[in-house]
Amino acid sequence: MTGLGPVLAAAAYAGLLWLVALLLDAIGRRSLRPRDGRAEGMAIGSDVARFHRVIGGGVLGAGAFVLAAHVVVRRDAPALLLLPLVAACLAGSARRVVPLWREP
Amino acid sequence: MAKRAMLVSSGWLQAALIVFLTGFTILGVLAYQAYTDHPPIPERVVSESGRTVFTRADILDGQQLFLQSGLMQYGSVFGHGGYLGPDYTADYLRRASVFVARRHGESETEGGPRTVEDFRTNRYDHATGQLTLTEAQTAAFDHVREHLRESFAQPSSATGLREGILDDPKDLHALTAFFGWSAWAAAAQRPGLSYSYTNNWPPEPRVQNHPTGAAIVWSVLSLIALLGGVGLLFGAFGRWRSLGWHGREEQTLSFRRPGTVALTPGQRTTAWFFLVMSALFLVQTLVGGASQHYRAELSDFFGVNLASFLPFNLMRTWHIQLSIFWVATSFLAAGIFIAPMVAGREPSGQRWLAYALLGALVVVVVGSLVGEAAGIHGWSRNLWLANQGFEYLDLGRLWQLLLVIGLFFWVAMLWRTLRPRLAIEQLGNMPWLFFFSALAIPAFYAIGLLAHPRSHFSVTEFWRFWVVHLWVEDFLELFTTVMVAYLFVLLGVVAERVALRLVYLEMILYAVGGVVGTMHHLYFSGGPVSHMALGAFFSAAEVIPLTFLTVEAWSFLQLGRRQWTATAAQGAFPHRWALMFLVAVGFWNFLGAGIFGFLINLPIVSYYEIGTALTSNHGHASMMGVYGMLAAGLAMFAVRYLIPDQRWPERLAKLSFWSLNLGLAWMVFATLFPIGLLQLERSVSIGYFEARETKYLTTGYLSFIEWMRLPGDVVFIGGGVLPLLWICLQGVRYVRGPDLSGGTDSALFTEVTRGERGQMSGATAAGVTEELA
Repeated sequence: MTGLGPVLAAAAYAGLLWLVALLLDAIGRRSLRPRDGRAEGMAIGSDVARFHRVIGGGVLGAGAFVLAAHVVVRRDAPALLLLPLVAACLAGSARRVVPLWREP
Repeated sequence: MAKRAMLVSSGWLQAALIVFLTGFTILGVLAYQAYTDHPPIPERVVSESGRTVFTRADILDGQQLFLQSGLMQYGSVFGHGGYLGPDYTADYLRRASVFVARRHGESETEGGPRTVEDFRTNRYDHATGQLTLTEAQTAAFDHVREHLRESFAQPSSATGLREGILDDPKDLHALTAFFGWSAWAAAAQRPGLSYSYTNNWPPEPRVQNHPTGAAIVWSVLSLIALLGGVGLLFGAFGRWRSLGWHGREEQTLSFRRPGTVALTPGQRTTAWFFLVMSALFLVQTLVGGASQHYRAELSDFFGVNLASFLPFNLMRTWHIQLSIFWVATSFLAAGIFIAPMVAGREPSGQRWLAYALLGALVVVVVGSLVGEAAGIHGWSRNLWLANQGFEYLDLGRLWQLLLVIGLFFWVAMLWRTLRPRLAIEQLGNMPWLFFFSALAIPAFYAIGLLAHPRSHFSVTEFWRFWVVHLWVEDFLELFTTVMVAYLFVLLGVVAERVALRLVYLEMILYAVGGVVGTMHHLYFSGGPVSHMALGAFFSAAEVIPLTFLTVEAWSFLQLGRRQWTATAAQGAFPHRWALMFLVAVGFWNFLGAGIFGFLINLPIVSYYEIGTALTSNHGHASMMGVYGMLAAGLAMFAVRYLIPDQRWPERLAKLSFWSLNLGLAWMVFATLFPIGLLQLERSVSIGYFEARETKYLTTGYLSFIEWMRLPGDVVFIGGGVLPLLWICLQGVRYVRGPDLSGGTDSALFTEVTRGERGQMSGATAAGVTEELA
């Protein structure tokens, strides 16, 4: 692959990881919903939601590093197009993982 | 005393028995075929002019050298082994076919009719046991032997192997004979058929090795099996609402604080087991990190020539063996810890037996690791004490045998404890399932002894995968299911009847696909096409119970919800992190075993993928994700009782849990999965040989991606493993005193009636005490 090909492949991989992260977010949110009309016991629900969000954060963090590797190795103009995606992955990762330190 | 009646319909037990019997009958037929339909090993391989090129003894000597020198943990044969070195079958076939094509004046990139004719024509004479090679093939043999000599003579910094690993010309000749024989089997057509002994694997256009029709047809049929199976499962769920996890109706439980639960002397010894477990886990991850570093920086380890004393193949051997050891240690400890809770008592002297078992385990671990080092460094070729060399069964046969004996000893210990309880239970009830699932662990590990370094390679692969697949993916999974179900019963989260029904359902679902599905590892190992067909079809069904897990996860999680709320009034739920590890087990089971497993399961995908990082992607996400997380969860559960409440390091438990999961996600998504995808793309578009080249794997972009794994590994080891080790150390330092009455607490909770919820007063003793009444 030459030219834009590798960049598009890397962007597609980032897209796949975002899809995974958003899917995990959705699964986590679902675990927060009360079941059978009862609003009881959010503790484990929130832990499970947090689990899925944090794993999603890990996935995006890994994605950011992979894309960054791509930019550093290629060091050409098309690869620079990936920088916004790197930033987005890092931000998405931080949003999901950092709250872990503030929560019980 | 009258036996307690079967808690569920006896139809469950009968169905499980039928499924197992059917599965093992089919597997028995396939075992027979493994012996009758494998590629023949010629007595003599001769050139057209009558010169002896190599003999049967050379091939077997070469195979033994390949195994005992640890080369199976470096490269692979028939796609099975390590992934840093080449696949030696594909490597030989490529080099020999290019050489032959050049000699015939044909295209070196596409081959030609004479090259194809040389390799695909089967000149093996069954009557005399003689195989004839063409003059070009004979010259190619010498050419490849020279290449191997140069390759193994290189300094360690260029290969990751120790210097001079094989420099004896006789050894090199034998090794070339073994690789040459495997390459012959990969290209020569089976008598009367149009494909090779390995179903045309590896892909090699120069000799017209292309996917067979069967590989494509059975890939499609396995997809259909998956879709049909999932449909049937959902249909069954719609029809029978009682299937799956269901909590106790409207009951709220008050958990006893761990500090108030009496411990038996035997249970207290498990503190040492968990300490050993976590220490082995630490060593396993450190050597794993070192072996991974070879892919990022082959030539040195931060300036140190690591390969001179800890070569790649030794690091990988230890990494894989320790993964089995530390997980097994946790399972042994959990069995010893839970058995008295199941039985309501512990026989005298159990503590000393437990210490003896732990001592024996340490001897086996240390002895086998030292033996493997001795074998790989070339200090000893003793089959019993040094390196046997099969991936996953690397340990010398003596250590293998001792481990089997130790595991049976553990089962005997469980029997001593459970005997009074088993005496009053029907054969199909939970205590018996607990015992049988424990018994299956040594029984199926023992089958690994049938793989011998001098047996036919296809046959040894068959038995090896009984351990790698059947033992790990079926019987450890069964023990896992029973263990988790029993934990929930002991904690009062589910009624025993519900747990029992679920254990049977999962047992049946796993066995339907998993038993015959063993063959999905053996599509291209020299077995007949029926191995591939049945392996593909049945192993697709293995994903069905994993899909079932995602549906059941919701019910499973709801189980803890009410109890969690109830206990909030008394303080934190004591098993928060044990439960979270079980949540992680479910997650990784679906992702690692289900999705990443199925990704490489279809024969047509496996044809191009086998031996790439997608295999280790599946291996890491499922082995660590499922069994590793479960082992850590079992440790959290037991150690929570061993350490006094005031000393329980809640924050470290939290750190360990998150770091292990984040680190694993990182290693999978930053490195293994993308590298696997890149290798797969290269294998399909350029060639399998090119996708497995060490140079490709350890330079450029791929090397950089390997570096990207470093942060995840640091999080995993520093944040995950070290805190777990510290927690287990606290278990040994502060283990609570024993209850010397000989009894134990079988009820870890009390039920709170609806009207008393607010007061949290215990009303009814439950659990085993109630069931025994």
